[in-house]
Amino acid sequence: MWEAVVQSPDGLYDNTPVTWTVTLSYTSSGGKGPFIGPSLDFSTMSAMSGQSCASNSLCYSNVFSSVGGQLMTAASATASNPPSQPTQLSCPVSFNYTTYVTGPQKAVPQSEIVAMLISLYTSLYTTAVGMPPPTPNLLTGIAWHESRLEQFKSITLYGTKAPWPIENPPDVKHNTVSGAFIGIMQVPNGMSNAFDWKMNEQSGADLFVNMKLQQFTIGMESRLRTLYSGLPALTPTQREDVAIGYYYGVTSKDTEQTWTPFCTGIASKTTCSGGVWQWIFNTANDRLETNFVTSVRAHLQ
Amino acid sequence: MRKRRTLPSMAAFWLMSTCANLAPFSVCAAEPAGKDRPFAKKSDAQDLLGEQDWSAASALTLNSNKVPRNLVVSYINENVTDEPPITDADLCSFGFFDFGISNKVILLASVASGRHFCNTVAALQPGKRPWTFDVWLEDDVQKIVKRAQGSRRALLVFEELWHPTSGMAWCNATWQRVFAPGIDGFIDVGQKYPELYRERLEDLIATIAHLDAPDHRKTRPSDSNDPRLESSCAVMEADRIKRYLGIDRKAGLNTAETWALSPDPLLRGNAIAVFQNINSLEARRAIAKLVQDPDRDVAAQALQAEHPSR
Repeated sequence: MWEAVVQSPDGLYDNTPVTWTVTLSYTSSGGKGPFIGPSLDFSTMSAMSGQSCASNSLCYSNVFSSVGGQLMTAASATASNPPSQPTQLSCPVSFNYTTYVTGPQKAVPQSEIVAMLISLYTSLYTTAVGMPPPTPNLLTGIAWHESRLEQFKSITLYGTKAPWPIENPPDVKHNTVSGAFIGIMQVPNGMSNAFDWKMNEQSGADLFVNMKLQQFTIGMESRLRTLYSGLPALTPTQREDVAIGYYYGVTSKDTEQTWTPFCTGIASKTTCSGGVWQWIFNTANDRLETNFVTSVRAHLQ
Repeated sequence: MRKRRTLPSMAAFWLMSTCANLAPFSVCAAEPAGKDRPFAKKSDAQDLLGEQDWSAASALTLNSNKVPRNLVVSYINENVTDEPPITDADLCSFGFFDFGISNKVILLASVASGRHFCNTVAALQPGKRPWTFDVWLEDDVQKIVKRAQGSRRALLVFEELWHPTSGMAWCNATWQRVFAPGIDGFIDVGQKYPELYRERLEDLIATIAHLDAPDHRKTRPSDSNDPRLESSCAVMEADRIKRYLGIDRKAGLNTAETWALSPDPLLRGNAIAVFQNINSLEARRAIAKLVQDPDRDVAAQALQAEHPSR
């Protein structure tokens, strides 16, 4: 709540208008940002009244939702000379105040996080593919892996230890700063992905279904089936596995994904003699994506 | 023989191309050429970029004339046909580099996956097979090309992912790779350039000191993790470099043994990666103990480390 009272001993300046500037911005601990929140224009807002407001003040209230960070308020008023006192000097006054809008003190219940992920995935998958997903709770495994299903954790930001959005750490080469990726699904940082856990899940689900599954996985399958004669289509579950690997993002190479062509006979480049091409779970060379898929599937909620 | 176009006219042509301006590149680009018939069908990108002057002397011109990003995206999509096509938003950075091995420059492009991880570097040159490298968060190609000491030759020096502790919210251990262009592609030349690993080791030691400093620990604690976790990935790489350079063949073993006793399963997982890399009798025994770990991820990881081909 913002409240300003302009008073003068003689009462001449009591109705001096106050100009407010309220800025909400969020920058991660590694310097990603600033992401600017919605601006508040008090000139278009209705002033409050009631017990919490002084009788001669103008009082404004705003509830911040899905945003957070550093809230800087500047209030200023310039008392101009009233006609009855033309020789007095004008008196500008200003006041600055900084506070913080953090994540909720009480963690978002994990049951809500899980239910939302299942709902989002089922809906997006069904729309995109035309049938329900083989693993409706698939994204819960990714979220477990990425963040242990948490949007906020207690860290110190702006010198204030509080629940802030869960950030990726800086990589050791400092190419990527802390907070480049954020929240439950560790998607690219932004005001809503950081402070709105539902939006964070939505971003992750969009990315998974519309890019990793529908573009990357289907594209890879199509390219390999063109190259490897007789290679069957991936099953829906296998496609999910490949998309999980792409979400992890270690490699983009077609033949290094979690399912890869395998010749049951003798392979020579893309030709399979005395056998057929099949898909095989790619455990060659201790693939990191494959480990990721295994772990994701082991932690479905 | 086609007349070479100059870059300014190339850019103008690009801007005039209705298709390029209105439609996604996947629509405009020519049918992807298979590996067995590279450059079978030429398109605008092949014509415009592929037929430029790629001589070493022109590196400065190519870089300073600001080749349109769209053209580079299209050129990558036409040449790198075994990966998902990219869009303009996926191109993290690019540049033309004279590696000093031939009189031609090489186009290096860092490409992002959907979460904007710049995890692929493509190396392209007209008439040559394209190369792609799996890298870890290498956004800027200018930073991964280094001159070898006392030589005109340049090297490609980047980090690749070694061991993930978990998702992006925790540290991921990486390992430095060094490649040099050869006659038919790039060759791993890490062993020939120990000075590059010594440089990296110095950086890592400074990073570890920073992450372990009490002031830093105060501001970035994770309430639920072992406080050693955050610097553990840098420690892992530093110790691996010491082993690689022969400074200390058992570097990291004692540290990993203490990590193996941590209540934090992520740190115990990092210990397994260290043991696996050391691969001594003691290290293998330590892995065998962790197969019985109460955390199923750690146990599974240990089992896989015991039998890497499973």
